Amino acid sequence: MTLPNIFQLHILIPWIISMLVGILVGGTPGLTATMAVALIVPITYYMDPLAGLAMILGVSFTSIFAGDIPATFLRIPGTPASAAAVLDGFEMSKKGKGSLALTIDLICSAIGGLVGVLLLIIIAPPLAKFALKFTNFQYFWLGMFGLSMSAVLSTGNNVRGLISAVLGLLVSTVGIDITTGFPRFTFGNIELMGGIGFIPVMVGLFGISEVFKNVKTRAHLTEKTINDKIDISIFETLLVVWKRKWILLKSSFIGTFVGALPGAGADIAAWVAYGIEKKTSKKPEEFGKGSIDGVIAPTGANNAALGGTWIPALVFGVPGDSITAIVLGAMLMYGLKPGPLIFQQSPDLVKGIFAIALISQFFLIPIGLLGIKAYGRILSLPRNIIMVFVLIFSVVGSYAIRNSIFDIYVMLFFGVVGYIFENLNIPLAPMVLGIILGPMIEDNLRVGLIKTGGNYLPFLTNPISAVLVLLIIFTFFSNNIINLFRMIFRKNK
Amino acid sequence: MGKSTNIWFGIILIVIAVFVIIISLGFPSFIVGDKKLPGPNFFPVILSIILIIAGGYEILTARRGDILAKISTKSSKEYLKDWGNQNVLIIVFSLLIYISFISWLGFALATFIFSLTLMIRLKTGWIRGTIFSTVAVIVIMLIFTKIFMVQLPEGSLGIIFWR
Repeated sequence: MTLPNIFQLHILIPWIISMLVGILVGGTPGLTATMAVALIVPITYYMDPLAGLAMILGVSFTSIFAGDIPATFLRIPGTPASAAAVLDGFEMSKKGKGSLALTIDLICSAIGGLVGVLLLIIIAPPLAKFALKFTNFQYFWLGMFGLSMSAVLSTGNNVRGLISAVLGLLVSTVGIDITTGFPRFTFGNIELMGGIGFIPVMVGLFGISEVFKNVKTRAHLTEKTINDKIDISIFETLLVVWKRKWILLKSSFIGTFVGALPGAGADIAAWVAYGIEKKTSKKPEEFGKGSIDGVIAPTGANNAALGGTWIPALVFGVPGDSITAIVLGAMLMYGLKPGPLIFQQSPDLVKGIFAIALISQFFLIPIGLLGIKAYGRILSLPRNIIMVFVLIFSVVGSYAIRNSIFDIYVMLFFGVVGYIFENLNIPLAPMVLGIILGPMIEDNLRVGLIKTGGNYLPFLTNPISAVLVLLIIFTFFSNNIINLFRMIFRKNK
Repeated sequence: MGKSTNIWFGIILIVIAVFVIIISLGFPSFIVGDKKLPGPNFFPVILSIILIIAGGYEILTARRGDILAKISTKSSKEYLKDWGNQNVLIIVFSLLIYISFISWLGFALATFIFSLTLMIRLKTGWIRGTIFSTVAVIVIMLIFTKIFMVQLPEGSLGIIFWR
């Protein structure tokens, strides 16, 4: 198989259709990128493997981007990977710059995806080997590093950020304990055995609480939901992104690296990139208030992470996240064996996958622009209509994940919690981070301790762990450390 | 009012933490050989201890005036008289009723009633409310049940509206 072959109609048409489906799925709260891929796989069963993989790749890249559309316009992340995009994207939308935020997001998603795929092509084997060096000890510290971002995300008061993160971690402990199989905090409720669903929590915390805020002012309700004041030129937006190319490149590298770690995914990558960017920014005070840098970092990282997740999947047959887990199943279904031998046994197919992944990034731009325009049209309706639509979609989205009425109650509960927390100036982002990272931190801590017979020392003696610990310390005390260095430097001068 | 909000917030955190600890102490120990290893209660108890410390901190800092937010000093009667606050409460209660009845009425009918009621309350008007509620139900049914094969509750009556 050579490059021109992927432009044959039997590959190209399903590929484009799947990318359009990705916009619809990702842009619908409650329907995740994983669900989109799972829906596509059965359709691809009788197709040429490359056409099937083109559909899977296309739908995953577009749905991750499309999740940012409701996140930016309505503050409802379409997919978990879009949760970090809410912070500055929605603030820009409130200022009449929602379409600009999304066009920047789209370009960053495409470039981030491009970087992820290029890294997949260039350094897949060594990066995958490095990723496999991570054991429970390193994963624990990686989770803690991610959690340390809550200190960065809680503007003003670190204690309240900590409280929010700890509450999120507590929520993550509900359900069957993976290590012992014991049900925790389920109170005999079967629905709670599987844990508290992340989607209903996220929709509640961000979406429902936003509806409550919107319905409080009568005059506000008859206004258009989005009121973008500027016409977006793709070239001007490219210029905006070009001025911040290093931020995008850095976030894309972070995204690919985090994505390459099995178990971590696009959602964690987005938060880590956002946190690092805020911490290292010259204007951290602008983050969370509609900063363009705050849009670029998570959106570049989450699409780059998709390329990253393919690294262990292709090289070792180890899924990097739930999407690649389905992809591996699909590849086996096509009679392919992912792993080191795939590069020798099916070199043409691997080249085809790389080519499709690269070209998908270019297709993403026109298809994404179409999605932004379509959603923008719908959302130009007055708020009193859109807010009711948001409520209904939130209900259906929360229900659809597990076909569970209970999950709608969970969504409502967290909607009220989110509303109260925001009125009390308690940040919501650390709670989301706690829920995402809770299982990673707890399971790896406990399994690590079981391995060592309760000895904590091995958690610190590995060089990778030491680097991660230093990064955590730096996250908390970077301002003090930088000030100290400045003082020493000035004295020496 | 701000100080008392801090104090109440701190107390609530401590109550949650104590509740979690009490429940967690009932979890079985995890013993391998003769060694007691971190069991199911290990993580929740650590988190609860952090919450107790944070709750105590909130109570102590209330004195320093590091308040959570300036909470309105309105009485509950005044609060309920406010049109916006009423909307929030109406949405919460109508969602509760909607969720409770969705299995019985079916998705289509329950959603239509819920949507129309809220649209009228939010001053959309009867005609626009009816049109947009109908459109919302049809679009969602098409997307979720026909394209994505998600089975929405049909209920005893919902079947009349959709098959």
